[in-house]
Amino acid sequence: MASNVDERPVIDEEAYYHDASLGATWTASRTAVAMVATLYGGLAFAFFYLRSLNSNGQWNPNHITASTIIGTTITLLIVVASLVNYFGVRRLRRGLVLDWQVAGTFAAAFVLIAGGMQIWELTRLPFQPSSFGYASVFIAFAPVNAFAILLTGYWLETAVMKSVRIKRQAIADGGLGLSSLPIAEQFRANLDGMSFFLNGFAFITVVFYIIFYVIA
Amino acid sequence: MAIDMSQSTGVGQSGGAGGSTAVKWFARGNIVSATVLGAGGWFFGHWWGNVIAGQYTSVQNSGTNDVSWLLGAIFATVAWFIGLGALNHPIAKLWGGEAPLPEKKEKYSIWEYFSYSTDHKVVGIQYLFAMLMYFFVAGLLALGIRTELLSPTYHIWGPDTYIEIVGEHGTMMMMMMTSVIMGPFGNFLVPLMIGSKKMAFPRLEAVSFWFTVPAFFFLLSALWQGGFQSGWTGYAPLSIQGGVGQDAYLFSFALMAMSMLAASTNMVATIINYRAPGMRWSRLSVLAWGMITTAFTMILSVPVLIDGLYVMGMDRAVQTSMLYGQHGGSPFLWENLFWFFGHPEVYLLALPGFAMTTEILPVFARKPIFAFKTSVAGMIGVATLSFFVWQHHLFNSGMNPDMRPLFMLSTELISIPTGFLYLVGMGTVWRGRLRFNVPMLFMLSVFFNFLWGGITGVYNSDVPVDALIHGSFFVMAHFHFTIMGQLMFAVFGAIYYYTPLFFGIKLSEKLGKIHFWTMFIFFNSTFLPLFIVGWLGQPRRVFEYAARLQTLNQWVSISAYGLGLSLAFFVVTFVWQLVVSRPKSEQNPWDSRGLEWLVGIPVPKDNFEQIPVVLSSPYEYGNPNAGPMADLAPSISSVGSDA
Repeated sequence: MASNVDERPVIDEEAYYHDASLGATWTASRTAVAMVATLYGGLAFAFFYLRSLNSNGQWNPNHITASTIIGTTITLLIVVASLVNYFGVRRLRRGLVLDWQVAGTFAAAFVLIAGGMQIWELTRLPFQPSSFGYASVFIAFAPVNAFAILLTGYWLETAVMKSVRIKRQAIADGGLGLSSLPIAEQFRANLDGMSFFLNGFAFITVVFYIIFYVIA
Repeated sequence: MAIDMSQSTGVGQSGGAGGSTAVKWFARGNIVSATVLGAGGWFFGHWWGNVIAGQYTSVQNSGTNDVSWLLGAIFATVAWFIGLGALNHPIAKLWGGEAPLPEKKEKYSIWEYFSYSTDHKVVGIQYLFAMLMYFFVAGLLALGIRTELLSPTYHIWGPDTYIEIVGEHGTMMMMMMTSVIMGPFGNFLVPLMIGSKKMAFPRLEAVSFWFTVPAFFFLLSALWQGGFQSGWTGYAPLSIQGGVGQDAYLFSFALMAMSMLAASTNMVATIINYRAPGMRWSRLSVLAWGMITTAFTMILSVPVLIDGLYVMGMDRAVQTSMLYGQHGGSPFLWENLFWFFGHPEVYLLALPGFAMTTEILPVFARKPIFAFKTSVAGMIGVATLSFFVWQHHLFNSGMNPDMRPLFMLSTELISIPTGFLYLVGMGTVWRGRLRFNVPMLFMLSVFFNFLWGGITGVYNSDVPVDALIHGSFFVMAHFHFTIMGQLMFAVFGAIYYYTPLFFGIKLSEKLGKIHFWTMFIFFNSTFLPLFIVGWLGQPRRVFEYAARLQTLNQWVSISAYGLGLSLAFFVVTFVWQLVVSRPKSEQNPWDSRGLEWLVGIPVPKDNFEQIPVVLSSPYEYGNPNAGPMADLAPSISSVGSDA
């Protein structure tokens, strides 16, 4: 053991905090899914609570729902975006960066279109906000869903743009999908977090499709 | 404008915009540009809301327009963050860029405490002053309540104004108390305690603080907008019938909720990932344990509060009818959503208080924490069970009677892990070599005060007792003992304890003891009689009461003034010592083993010169064989042997 304090080898601080930041991204993305699930859980509670109470027979007396076609399209777009991203990430891990960039761009476009459709659906509702219980809960749900979809799209878009910006830096080291450069690892950690979130969000979307368009 | 697209832009750094120095100063984002843009955002949103909803039947001639108020508040908040420069980074990310974090400094100017700082120590101090501002303003409102209650017949305020003050006091206090430990102490101390140079997400940390500022002003603004008659619990139908003051309530509470989520995410990610080598979970400080437990509780409960507030806002502004029974809604929906957050919230106020108390007790008892693992188990137990008790708030308001025993039982069960925390404290001081410095006095008083609040809490949860005392001053006295008597006493003790680290000064023991004894005596003198007042039937939130209760009420009001004077004494002496006399603190004045004290005073800009290696528990007091807690200049061998 070295006796001279000045000659002591020290912990590689850069590597230490790099690993910590990768871990933090992992933790935060999982936490984000938990938060969003809880947020949607509150709305699901509102749905089932009011549905089971059926105050004054006014939950949904005429069994009207929001447009099933639009709802189905939104759900499909999110699920497809999740799948496209999933397969894109698999190809990225094999070193095919461009494949993921194309997949990520399409996924982002699908998500943004879904967000736009969720807003558009609000303009084509067959009921007024206070018409009955279902109408109220759906009108509360739709803006939250649109906002969450657009935020997810933002995350996807920033990941794609990041990959475009830093792609060259990792080329010599095997590309963004394989490189052990910190910048590439950071990118993959962010992508992993985003993918986890997107998959979780797709699951939530399917559940809420069943709630609002199937169970109603 | 304060959105700076250049890559050089970070908070506190120069903006990329060209032009004069003044323009650059404005462009890089600060509280002035935030205020100016925030005001502009308010007027724009308000105008737009009037364009949208001005002709609605429900709005015309009503003197209220919830749409314009809420849109004004939303635009004001977004513009506020633009003005602070908080959106520079997310906007830069749109094209793959990143706004760099500013360099930390050894010493900051006063001005930088008013900017969007990403230094955890600055954020901690910002939080400290903001939360004290919340506390003292809400405390003044409490004196307004007690002034009205001096007489059952002679009135200072009308009934409406009285209930406005009560609601404002309660909401402001509850909002503040969610963050009063995690904000200042969590942000400042956790990186030091875990041996890290930084937080995981410094921007998230800054955002969490800057949500609390507009939340404060929006909430305060309710006072001159008719207030909110629903009180802090916001029950429908009052909440959907009230004027725009109710919008101020729901919007400010929602901002605070977002602050809690941002702070919690950052805290969880930091504690899990940024611990120094050797910082095992068994060596983690109790305060850090308290922070992570509280953060998880917030993450899983606060989104439901946001749901509830959103439901209320939609019913008010968009005319949905989720809280209105005639059109398929139910006011009980709010009660469930609110209390699903509200009851964990009560515990997420208590947990940091206990964590802080348990953190400080061993330093002054010169003994290790008694049953450290039990303490941690107690916190996890309280946090877990806190999700299963919320329906006890509905015992008297329409819940299925068959469900009452279940929630009565779950509520009583929670007293077991709470008892763990209490007994750990008692075990720690038992046969210790106690030093009765000011922080220790505050921490000991936590146990005295909590005894009243805790024991009354056990039988408050019994359905027959609850039916009798529900909505009375008895319940009010109970939760003031558990929250103010526990949490706020812990906070004041922590302020005395940590001022050397925060500000490099050590507050006077003599002045501190005057503050402690007057606060302790007047606090108990104020709230103990309220148990009797409530028992004798005085309801909460009513500005008149039976004449036979006047003597007791006068006693309480006069004691409350004494409590107010004690707190005013603290403010004056604290500011005096902080600004004028600045009594310099020696290094590690309490002779603590904690890692946070090993870095020296003032705390270096990066906390640690090198990443430390943690070697032992921070609580090995009285153990002659215990080495230092950490090696601050570690070699690879110490990492290998211990990490």
